[in-house]
Amino acid sequence: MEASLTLGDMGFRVLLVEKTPSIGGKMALLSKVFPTLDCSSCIVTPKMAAVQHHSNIDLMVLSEVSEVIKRVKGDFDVTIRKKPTFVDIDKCTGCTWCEKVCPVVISDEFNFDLRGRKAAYIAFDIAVPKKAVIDIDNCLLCGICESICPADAINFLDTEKIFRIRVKTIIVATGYKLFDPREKTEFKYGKFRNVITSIQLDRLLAPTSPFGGVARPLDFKEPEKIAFLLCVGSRDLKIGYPLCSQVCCMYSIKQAQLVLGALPLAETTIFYIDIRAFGKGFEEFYNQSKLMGVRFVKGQVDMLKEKEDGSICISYFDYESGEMKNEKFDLVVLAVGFRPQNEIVNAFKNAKLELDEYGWIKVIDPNRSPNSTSIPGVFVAGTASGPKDIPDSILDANSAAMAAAKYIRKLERGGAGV
Amino acid sequence: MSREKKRIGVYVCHCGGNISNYVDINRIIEAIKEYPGVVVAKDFMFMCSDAGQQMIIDDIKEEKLDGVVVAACSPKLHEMTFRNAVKRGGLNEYLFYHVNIREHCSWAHMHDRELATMKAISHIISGIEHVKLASALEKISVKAERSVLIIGGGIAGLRAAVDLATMGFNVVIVEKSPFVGGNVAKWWKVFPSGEEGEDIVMELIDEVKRSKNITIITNAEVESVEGFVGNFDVSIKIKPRYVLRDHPKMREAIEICPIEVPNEYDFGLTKRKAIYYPPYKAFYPEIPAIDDKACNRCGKCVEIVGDAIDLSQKEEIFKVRVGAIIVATGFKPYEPRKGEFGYGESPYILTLPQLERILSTIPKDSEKLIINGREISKICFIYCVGSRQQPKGGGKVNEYCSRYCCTSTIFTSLKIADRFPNIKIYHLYRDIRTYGSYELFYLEAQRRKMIFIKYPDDSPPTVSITDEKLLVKVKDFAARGKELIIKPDLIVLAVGMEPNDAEKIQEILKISIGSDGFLREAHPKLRPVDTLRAGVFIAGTIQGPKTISETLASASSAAAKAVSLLVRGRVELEPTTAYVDPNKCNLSKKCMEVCPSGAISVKSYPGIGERAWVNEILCLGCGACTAVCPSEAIQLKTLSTHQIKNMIREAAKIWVR
Amino acid sequence: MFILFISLAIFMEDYKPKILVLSTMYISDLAVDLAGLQHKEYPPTTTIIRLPCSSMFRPEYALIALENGFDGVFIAADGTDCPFREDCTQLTARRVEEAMKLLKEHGYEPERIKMAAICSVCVKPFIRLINEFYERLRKLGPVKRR
Ligand SMILES: Cc1cc2nc3c(=O)[nH]c(=O)nc-3n(C[C@H](O)[C@H](O)[C@H](O)COP(=O)(O)OP(=O)(O)OC[C@H]3O[C@@H](n4cnc5c(N)ncnc54)[C@H](O)[C@@H]3O)c2cc1C
Ligand SMILES: Cc1cc2nc3c(=O)[nH]c(=O)nc-3n(C[C@H](O)[C@H](O)[C@H](O)COP(=O)(O)OP(=O)(O)OC[C@H]3O[C@@H](n4cnc5c(N)ncnc54)[C@H](O)[C@@H]3O)c2cc1C
Ligand code: SF4
Ligand code: SF4
Ligand code: SF4
Ligand code: SF4
Repeated sequence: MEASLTLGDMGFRVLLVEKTPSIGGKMALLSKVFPTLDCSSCIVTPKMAAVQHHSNIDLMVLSEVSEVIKRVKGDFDVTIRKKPTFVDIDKCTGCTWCEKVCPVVISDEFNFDLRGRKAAYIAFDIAVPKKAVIDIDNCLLCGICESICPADAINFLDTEKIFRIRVKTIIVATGYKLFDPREKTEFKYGKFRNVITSIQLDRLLAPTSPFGGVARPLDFKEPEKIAFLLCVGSRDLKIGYPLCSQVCCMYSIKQAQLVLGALPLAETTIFYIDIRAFGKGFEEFYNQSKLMGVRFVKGQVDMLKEKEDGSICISYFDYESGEMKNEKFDLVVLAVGFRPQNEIVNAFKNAKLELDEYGWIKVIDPNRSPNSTSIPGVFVAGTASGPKDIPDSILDANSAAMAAAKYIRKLERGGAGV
Repeated sequence: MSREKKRIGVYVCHCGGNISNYVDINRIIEAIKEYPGVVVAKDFMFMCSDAGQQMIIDDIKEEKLDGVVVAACSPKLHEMTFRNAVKRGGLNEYLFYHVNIREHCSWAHMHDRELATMKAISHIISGIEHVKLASALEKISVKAERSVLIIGGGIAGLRAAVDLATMGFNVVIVEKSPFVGGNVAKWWKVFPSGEEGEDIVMELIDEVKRSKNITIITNAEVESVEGFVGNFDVSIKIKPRYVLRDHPKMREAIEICPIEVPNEYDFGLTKRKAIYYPPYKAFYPEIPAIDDKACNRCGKCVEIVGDAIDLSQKEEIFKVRVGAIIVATGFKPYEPRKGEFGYGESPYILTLPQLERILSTIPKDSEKLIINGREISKICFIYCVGSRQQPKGGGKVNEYCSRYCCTSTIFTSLKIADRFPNIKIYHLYRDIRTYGSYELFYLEAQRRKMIFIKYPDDSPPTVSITDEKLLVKVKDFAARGKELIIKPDLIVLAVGMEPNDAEKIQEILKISIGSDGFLREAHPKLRPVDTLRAGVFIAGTIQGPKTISETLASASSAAAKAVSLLVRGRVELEPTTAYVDPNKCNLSKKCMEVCPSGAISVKSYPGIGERAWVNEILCLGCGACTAVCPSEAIQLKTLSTHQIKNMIREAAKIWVR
Repeated sequence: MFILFISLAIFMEDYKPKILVLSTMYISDLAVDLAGLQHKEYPPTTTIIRLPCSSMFRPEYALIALENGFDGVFIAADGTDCPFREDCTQLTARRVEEAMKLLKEHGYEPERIKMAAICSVCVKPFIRLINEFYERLRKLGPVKRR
C-alpha cells in the first residue's frame, strides 16, 4: 500500500492487486504496535482509505496475478484472475445484512480460528473495501442472502474474470505467512488448547477482539501466569530453518506489556535465546517492560505437559543456573516466526524470479539497491524479501517505489531494454 | 454566516474501545445532541475507517451540514484523514475541527470515567465553538523549486541525490568534510556481501559524477535556512580548500608538507599531512584539501605545484533556493572515554572502526596479523560499548541499541578467521542481535568454534593492563555469573553509533530531536522520513542506527517523498495565515514588532489609507501578532481571537454546570 | 470549631480545580499526547485547547477562563523548541505578565496562571508541573466570582 501511495503521489498510475477480500495485510489484524504502542488499526486504516480514494490507484481485490511475461522492451504483460465474489461491488453498501442471515458458520481465518464466520461475510470490521463476499465453497446456495440484500447486489451467476494489462514495472509485496507450530510437535499446538500463537493473542488484545478481551480459549478464564516462548520456528536447525524472524522478540515484549495493561495482576514470563531489540526505540521499550515487571528467562524449552485444569507445565533448561526447571503456566503463547509467501514466483513465465535458500524473494544486491530482484524491472518490497517490522517495511516500500519510478524513467529514455 | 445558523455534525469515535472503555460515549452524545448548532451527533466504532468516513460524507449531503467536528484520536494521526473525507463530502475542509479525546482523555484518565467524560465533553464543546465561527478557506498555492538540498554526502546523501537526479530534479549536496563518501568507504569488508566498503561508495560516486544535475559542495556547511517548503533560501558557508585543481606533482607537494596531525579518517591511528587525501580510494573530488587549522602557511607545497594551490583563498558564502531539504549527516562512532575498557591506555585496545581501518591496510600476502608490532593470536571482542547503557543517576547515556554492531563484529571476525584461521576469537556479548538472515553469520561463527560468552547486563567485563599485557575478567551469565579470565593480544570494542551534528541541524532547520539524540521523524510508521517541518526530510543514520541496505532504503524513501512533494512544480500551503481588517487597524504597528518573519508591512488601502498588511507567503501563522493588536484587527484565518474566546468560555461552563 | 474544621477539610478534599491548558500544535501538544499514550495520569479536570504558538496567548483569555468556570490557566509554551521563533519564551512571558496584572485588576489571584516550557517529549515535566499547579490551585481554593 505504501509503495502504491508513494508512486501515486509521484504521478504514476498504479494497479494494486490483492488476493484476499481486503487490503491492509497483517497489520489490520494486529493490536497495538511496538515500540510506540499506538493502535495498529489506527495506522493502517487511513492508509487503506487513502489507497481507495487515490485518483492514481486502481484496486483489485480477490485477484491474483497468474502470468507475467517480460517483453523485450523491458515492460511486462500481466494476466490477472479475479475470483468471483458473487456480490456486485458497486451495489454493495457493506450493511452486513447478508452476513447476519447466512446460516453457515465456519471458522474465521482473520481471527485465526478463534471465532466462526459466515459463508457470506465482510472480511473484518475495518475492511477496505467494505464489501461483502460469498465463500462459494461453503455456501449452501440457500438464497436467503439474495432475498434480504437491500441493494440487490448478490449475484450467484458471477464468474471468474480474466484481465490482461501491460505495465512498465512490477513491485512484489506479497508479505509473509506464519510458521505453523504444529510442525514443532513438542509444543503441542492444536493439542493443548491453552497453547496459542502470538497472532491469536494479538487478536485477543486488539480492539476488534473476538472474545472482547484476553481469556483462555479453553475455559474463558483470565490467565494469571502467561509464558511466551520465543523463536518458535525460527533459529531452529532441528527443523532446518536457521533464520531469525526479526520481529517476534519485539512483538512478544509488546504483548507482555499489553497483557499487563489488560490484566494488571498477571505474571508474564518470556523465554528467550537473545532479546533482539535492535530498532529505534526498541531497547528503551525492552527496558520499560522490565520495569513493568515482565520476567525474562534465557532458556531452552524442552517439553510441555498439560495438567488436568488445562494449565501447562513447561520444562526448560535455564541458562543462568545451568539446570533443568519446571514451571506451571495458565497460558502459553508461541512467538511463531515468519515464512515466505512466494507462490507469486510461479506467475513469472519467461524470466525467473529467484528465491533465496529459504524461499524469500532474493535481493540481488542489498548494499546497492535493496529492492532489486533477479529480474530487472521487478522490485520487491516489505516482508516479501525477508522478515521486517512495520517501520522497515514502510521504508522498504518507499524505496521500492523510487526504484520502480527510476525504472520507468529509464524505459522512457529507451535505456532499459533487455 | 452567523454563529447560531450553522448546521454542525459531531462524530464521536470509540476507537474500538480505546476511547469507549474509558469515557461514557452515550453521555457525551446526550450532552451535545441538544447543543445549539448541532444537528447530527453520532458515535461509531472506528471513525477513521472507510465506513466512518462515508457516514460523514453522507450526512454532509443529506443533512446539509456546514460544519463538522470529529472527536477521536490525536489530530496528528487523523486530522488529514477527516479533512479529506469532509472534502469528498463537498464541504470546505476548514469547516472541520478535530478534537482529541483519546490521547487527551481516555488514555490519560483511565481510572476516572466520570471526569474523563466531562473533559471529553468540554473538548467537544470547544470544537463546536471553533467550527461555528470557522470560514471556508482555500489553500495557498505557490510555485515550488524542483530542486533539493542534501546535507551530508555519505551513502545516504549520495543515494538520494542519484535518485532525485534520475527523476529530473536538480540537487545540491553540501558536505562538511573536504570529500564526499562518508563512513562506509572506511570499512574493510561489509556484510552481508563481503565486498569492500570503498567499492560500494566508489560506484555511487561514479553514478553521481555521471548525473549532470548534481552539484557537490564540499568543505561546506549550511549556515542558515529561511523560507518554507517549495522555496527554502539556503545560505552555505564554504571553507577554503586552497587546492584549486589537480597537478601531476601533487603527491610530491603532500610529501613535502612539514606538518603532521592525527588522521581522523583512520580514527587517529595514523598521521596525515596538513595537505592530504583520505587514506582510501572512494572519495570525491579527486583533489586533495588543505586543513585550515593545521596548515601554517609555510608555502612549501605551493613551491611544487604553483598556482594549483592558492593559500589566500577566502571563505565564501553560496546562496541557493531549493524546494526541499534532505538531512543525511549520518553518525559518528562512539568514542569511548579514556580508560573505558582500557581504551587509550594500550595500543592493543582498539575500537571496531579502528580495527576495520587496520584490516583494510594489511598487505594481501601477509600470513600473520600484526598490529602495532605484535602478532595477534587471540582477539577478544567486547560488545555494546557505548550502546544499551543503563540509565542511572543523571548524566546522558545511550540507552539505545546500535543495531549494526553485533552483525558487523561477527562478520569481521569471520573474515579475520578466513584470512588467519589460527587466531582464537572471543565474543563477550549481552544478546547477539544478528536479526533476519544475519543469523547465518552467527551460526557460522559458532561452527568455527569461536567462543561466545554472555555477560550480565549490569556487570560488564573489566580490563586490566600490566606491562602491555591485557587481562579481561568477565562474569559468565551461563554459569551463575562465575568469573572467567581471558588473556588476549588484542581487545576490540564494538562501539555504537552516535548522531552526527543533530543539534546543529536542529538549530538551523528547527526540527526536533528524539530522547536518544537522533533526529525525530514525524511518525515512525506513517511518516518515517518526514519531519514536522514541511519539506524537510531525514535519511540514513541521522534518524537512527542502520545498516547500509537500510540506509539506502531510507535514502530512496526520502527521495521519493521529495519527488512526490515537488513533482508538480507547486506546493500547496495551509491558509493558516494572518490577515488585517483595515477598517479596524489603527496602525499601532505592535504586530510588526512581534512578527518573527517580517510578514507585516504598511500598505495603502484604497479609500481607507495606510494600514498594516500581511504577506501570506511569508507569514508563518504563529499568531503572535493577534495577541498584541489593541483593536484585534489582525487575525489568523484559521483561529480568530473571537473563536478562542468562545472556545474558552463555553468549555469553562461545562465545568461549573 | 472542630466541626467547621472537618467540613472545611471535606470540602477541600472534594475540591477539584478546573484548569484550562493552552498547548501548542507542533510541540507541547505532542507531549500531552505522549502523556496519554503512556497512560500517565494527571488531573482530568483539564480542558486542552491548541494554539499554533504560545505567543498567541492574549491576556483576556485568562480572564474569560476564570470568569466562566476555570480555576487556573496553564500555558504549555514551546520554549526553545518553538518552530516559529527563538524568543518565544520571552514574548509569551510578557503576555503572561500582562495577564497577571489584568487578573489582579479584576480581583483574581495572579498565581492562577502558570507558564512552563514543555518540549515535545517532556512528558515527565508536564505531568509534574500540571500536578504542582493543581495543588497550588487547591490551596488557593475556588475562584471567588462576582
Ligand atoms: C503476531 C505479530 C505481531 C506483530 N506486531 C508488530 C508490531 O507490534 N510492530 C511492528 O512493527 N510489526 C509487527 N509485526 C510485523 C508486521 O506484521 C509486518 O511488518 C507487516 O505486516 C509487513 O507488511 P507486508 O506488507 O510486508 O506484508 P503483509 O502484511 O503480509 O501483506 C501482504 C499482502 O499481500 C497479499 N498477497 C500475498 N500473496 C499474494 C498474491 N500472490 N497476489 C496478490 N496478493 C497477495 C496478502 O494477502 C497481504 O494482503 C507483527 C507480526 C506478527 C505476526
Ligand atoms: C565499524 C563499522 C562497520 C560497519 N560495517 C557495516 C557493514 O559491514 N555492513 C553494513 O550494512 N553496514 C555497516 N556499517 C554501517 C554503515 O556504516 C552505515 O549504515 C552507513 O555509513 C550510514 O550512512 P550515512 O550516509 O547515513 O552516514 P555517514 O556514512 O556517516 O555519512 C554522513 C556524511 O555526512 C557528512 N556530514 C556530517 N555532518 C554534516 C553537516 N553538518 N553538514 C554537511 N555534511 C555533514 C559527513 O561528513 C559524512 O560524509 C558499519 C558501521 C561501523 C561503525
Ligand atoms: S526476533 Fe527474537 S524471537 Fe524472533 S526469531 Fe529472532 S531472536 Fe527469535
Ligand atoms: S479515528 Fe482515531 S480514535 Fe477513531 S478509530 Fe480511528 S484512530 Fe481510533
Ligand atoms: S547491535 Fe549488538 S553490540 Fe550493537 S548495541 Fe545492539 S546488542 Fe549491542
Ligand atoms: S501570524 Fe506570526 S508570522 Fe504571521 S503575521 Fe502574525 S506574527 Fe507574523
